[in-house]
Amino acid sequence: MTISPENLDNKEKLAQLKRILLKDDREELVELRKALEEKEAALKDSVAPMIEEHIEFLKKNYPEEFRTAVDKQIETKIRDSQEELIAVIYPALGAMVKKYVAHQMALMRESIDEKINKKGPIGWFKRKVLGVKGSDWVMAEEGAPVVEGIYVIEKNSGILISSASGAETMDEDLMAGMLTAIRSFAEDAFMKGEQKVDTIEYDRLSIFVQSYPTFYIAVSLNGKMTQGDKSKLSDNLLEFVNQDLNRDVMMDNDSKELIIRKKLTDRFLIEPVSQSMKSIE
Amino acid sequence: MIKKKVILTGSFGVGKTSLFNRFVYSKFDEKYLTTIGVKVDKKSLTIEGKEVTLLLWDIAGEISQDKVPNSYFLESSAIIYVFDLTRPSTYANMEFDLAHLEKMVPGVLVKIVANKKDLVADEELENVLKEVNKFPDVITSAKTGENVENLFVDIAKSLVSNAV
Ligand SMILES: Nc1nc2c(ncn2[C@@H]2O[C@H](COP(=O)(O)OP(=O)(O)OP(=O)(O)O)[C@@H](O)[C@H]2O)c(=O)[nH]1
Ligand SMILES: [Mg+2]
Repeated sequence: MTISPENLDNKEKLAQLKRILLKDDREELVELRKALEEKEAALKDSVAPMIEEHIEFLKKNYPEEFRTAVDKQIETKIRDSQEELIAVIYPALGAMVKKYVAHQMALMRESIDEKINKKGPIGWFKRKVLGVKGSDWVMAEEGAPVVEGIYVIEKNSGILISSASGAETMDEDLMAGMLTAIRSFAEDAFMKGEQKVDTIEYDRLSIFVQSYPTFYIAVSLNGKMTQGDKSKLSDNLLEFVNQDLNRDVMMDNDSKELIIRKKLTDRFLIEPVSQSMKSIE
Repeated sequence: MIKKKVILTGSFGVGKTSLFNRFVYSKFDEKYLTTIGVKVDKKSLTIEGKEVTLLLWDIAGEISQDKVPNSYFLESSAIIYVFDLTRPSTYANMEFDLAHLEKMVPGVLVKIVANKKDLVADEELENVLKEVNKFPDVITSAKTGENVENLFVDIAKSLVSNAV
């Protein structure tokens, strides 16, 4: 299943939700609950009682400050915690929230871009275009996806086994954890063993995910992926998993993370440009 | 390096996020900002010369644990079940909740935490402890920091010794 940002209807829904959420008094909060109950059958069971309980709790604990507390809370949530917001409304608001996921990823991308740009016009690394070797990447059609980072993540626990990326990004352990949490939630809440999310796309960013029995691999790419790209990357990953990774993840060795990182780097990412990077080889 | 997934769960408003913030950032906030979904953070500790990184999943509180998406629990190494000493509704379901957690992750290390100790007098505390179905492993206050470090360090120690 591919997530992509293209449902105007849902955009309107989002705007509506925001309007409701940002209203500033208590009756409106009750209205919010009513609106949600009416509109989203699925939300009714999970979120409404939670809101109910929260209101009770807040009433008891913060009688005077009740309103400001709730306002602040909602405001802060909207502003700072898109990914958490995604997690809770994901199942009920389906496609709309997928957009949010995508948007979150876009924000992440922006911050990555920013960091790369700080390090020079192209960044430290040239990256291999999916399976295209060496300097061919320069020739690659503008817009063809380029691997930015690759993460090997333990299933369910979300623990990062190893990773390689072309720039210092956000904390990779946390990225792996949050990505896993979102997947876990989605799986539980509305996919129930059906097809899983394999690509999250937004603007120029894609995150491509492939699952194997004990771990999954997330690849972040700069650029939209065609079906052809996906199957190429998928084949490439599978070959790598069979040749190396299946064995490597079983290693009980304090260098496991680094060994895998080195292989990921060589295979999917990087042609070291600077001398310092060369000396690693 | 050893990395372990540790879950913070329990009813809402019991102080999961506060315990997490106290431990990870050494800070406490009187304001209640309810957690939505999950927040993942980490902290590394050195236990007997080994570095252990705890990946902490701070889960949105639910009145009943069967409301929490099951997959959150999978492959966790420890579960911290927090209740609020001042609110009986947060420990009324404890037996059911613990059974549910055991079903989700058989044999997982579970720590029962009674939080907000600073808000109850000794006598009150005794009464609550008589009422609860299972005696808590740790009695904490995220506000004063009492026992918070101990809670996490104990978990890290158990996990390191299991890992050997
Ligand atoms: N006095 C006191 N207040 C506490 C303590 N722990 C938490 N609180 C307060 O209790 C309220 C709820 O705390 P949170 O940490 O947000 O609770 P939570 O369990 O994360 O709640 P949810 O995210 O909604 O599930 C906040 O106002 C905290 O300041 C404590 O040990 N003592
Ligand atoms: Mg919380």
